[in-house]
Amino acid sequence: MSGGAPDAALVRSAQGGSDAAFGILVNRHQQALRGFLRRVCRNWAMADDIAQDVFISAWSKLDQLHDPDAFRSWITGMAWRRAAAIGRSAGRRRAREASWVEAQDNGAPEGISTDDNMALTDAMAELTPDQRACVALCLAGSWSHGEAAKTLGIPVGTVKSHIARGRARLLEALGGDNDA
Amino acid sequence: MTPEDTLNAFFASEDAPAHDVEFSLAVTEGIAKQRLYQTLSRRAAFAVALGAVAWAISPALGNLGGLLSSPVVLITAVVAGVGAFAPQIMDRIPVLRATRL
Repeated sequence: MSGGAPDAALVRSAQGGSDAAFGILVNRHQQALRGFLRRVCRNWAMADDIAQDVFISAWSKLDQLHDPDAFRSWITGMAWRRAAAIGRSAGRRRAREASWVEAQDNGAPEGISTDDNMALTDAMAELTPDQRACVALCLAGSWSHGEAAKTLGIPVGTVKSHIARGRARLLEALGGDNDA
Repeated sequence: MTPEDTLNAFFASEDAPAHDVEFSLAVTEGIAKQRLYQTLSRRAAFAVALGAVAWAISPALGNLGGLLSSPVVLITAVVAGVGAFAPQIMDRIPVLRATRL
């Protein structure tokens, strides 16, 4: 199975029992899924744990995926539901604190001042989980509003307003133009 | 640097590596464990079913088996005999077949 094969072909092969095909799917989507979860959870270790669980769960439920083209949406939807469930638990406060400590420990990423990094970290933490998810998919990622809406299970209009508000809040944190 | 550039740099800093062998290995290991649990649970269910069948037919077998004084011995022999061939039997039944390693 070629690493350049489309998702649908890989999914069908994996559904037929090919571990190699599923491995390619994991390698192909791990970066985006972990990035999404890191932005939603604000805790990298927790995000990576959830991503790992999601891929394992996806493997065992692969027969339930009826549209092989929708693998990306399917795993991201699973990840979102898990992250949301964890976010509702008592672990949310700890996750935010861990995120803040992590941001301090890691220092500012290249091209960003420490102040801006901390401001954006705080601003992301202050967004609602839905807003963070929309920002993570459509601003940080390049998802269409429609695909994000379908994946997150919310109307397209709500996705658009979450993105506008989230973007405004983040730019406001940078002291920039906060007009949505 | 505009706020938009800063925002993009911030998002980029949260990306995981494009290739992460450690993560892929962790997923592979998790899948192997899941597969083992599934195989064991299927085989355990099969063994329980076999035991129930053996228990259910033990009176009939006991009547036939004048050679054996104890039904327990007979049941044990039947279960052990079928159990010894369980993997081969299960591999011929699609529902019970263990996923390929």
